[in-house]
Amino acid sequence: MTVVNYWLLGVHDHDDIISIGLWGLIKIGELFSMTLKVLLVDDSITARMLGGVAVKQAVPDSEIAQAANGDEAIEIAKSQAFDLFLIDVNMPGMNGLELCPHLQAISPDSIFIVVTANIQPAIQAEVAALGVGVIGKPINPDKLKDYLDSCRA
Amino acid sequence: MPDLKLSGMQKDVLTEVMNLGIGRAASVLSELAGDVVDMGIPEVRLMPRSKVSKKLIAGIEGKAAAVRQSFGGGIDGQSLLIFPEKASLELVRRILGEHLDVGEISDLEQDALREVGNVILSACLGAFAEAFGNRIDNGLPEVLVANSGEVVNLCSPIMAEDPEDLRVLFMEVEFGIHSQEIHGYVMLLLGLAGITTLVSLIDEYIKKLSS
Repeated sequence: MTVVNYWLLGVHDHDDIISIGLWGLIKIGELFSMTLKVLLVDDSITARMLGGVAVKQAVPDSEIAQAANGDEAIEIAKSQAFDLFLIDVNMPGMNGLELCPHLQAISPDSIFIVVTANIQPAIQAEVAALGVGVIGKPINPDKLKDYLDSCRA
Repeated sequence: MPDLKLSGMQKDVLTEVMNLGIGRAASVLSELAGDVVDMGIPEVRLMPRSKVSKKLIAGIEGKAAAVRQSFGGGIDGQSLLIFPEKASLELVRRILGEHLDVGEISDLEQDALREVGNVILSACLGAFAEAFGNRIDNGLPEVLVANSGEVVNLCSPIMAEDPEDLRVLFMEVEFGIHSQEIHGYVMLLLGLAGITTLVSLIDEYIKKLSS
């Protein structure tokens, strides 16, 4: 915020060269602060790998961590902050729908998206009741980007 | 077990619903493979387990790789995606090829096959759930590699019913990926209770269509 104010002063009170230089500073600052931190939770290594590729395509400026099950996801979420959680439903132990409330309690301001091959109306209703998003497997980068854009709007 | 035969209309409904499911499976497989996938099923048949084993022996030379997933919630049973073992590795290569080298693909083959099976079988069962208005819960996918005639027999002990009572909704599918045909099978293994529920759901569906 300080940088933005300074840039605004620059526009009004200084010459164009200084303004452009400060604009560049703001852009870098914005990009840095917008690095999307993502936790991918899926018991399949393949799904995590393909999910990671899709996230990078949707949001090139992202950092991706992985968890292979619900317990691991909770541990990681307690130790690091994430902007986005992508959670598989069908996992051994705690399933994705059971895991969501635990992660929501740890990180209430994050975006949660359940990722499942099983997009039936009944499952969608259950996901909606949790107040989280849902996208089909495999993750389509365009759909993920659209969903994230809708969350930011 | 009573002689369970589907009427022409019941068979037609099943084929239509399974075509929707296979269509969705083709769409997800296409996203995974990054290419157009053609998938077709000629016909859905309900047959005893023993006949299915004979079909598989005739259709798959040597070993078969199968992804098996239990399902429940009204209709209980097991879904199976079966390929010749060689074709399954090829399918995994098509999907992971650009992300991994050959050694890594080999290490991940089972995991990748499980995931591919999960998305394909879930797409098929999702079409059932949507058409018939019931909820279907999937279990965890599991990979089996066995002689083709043995695959279905390996699933029988998991079912709580007499193996002789088990019926199979049998679909032969052709996957065309990157101009290469991969021949496989999608099956739903159902006991008497599952078949009875399915038939009554199909009848309700037909009644709704005709009203």
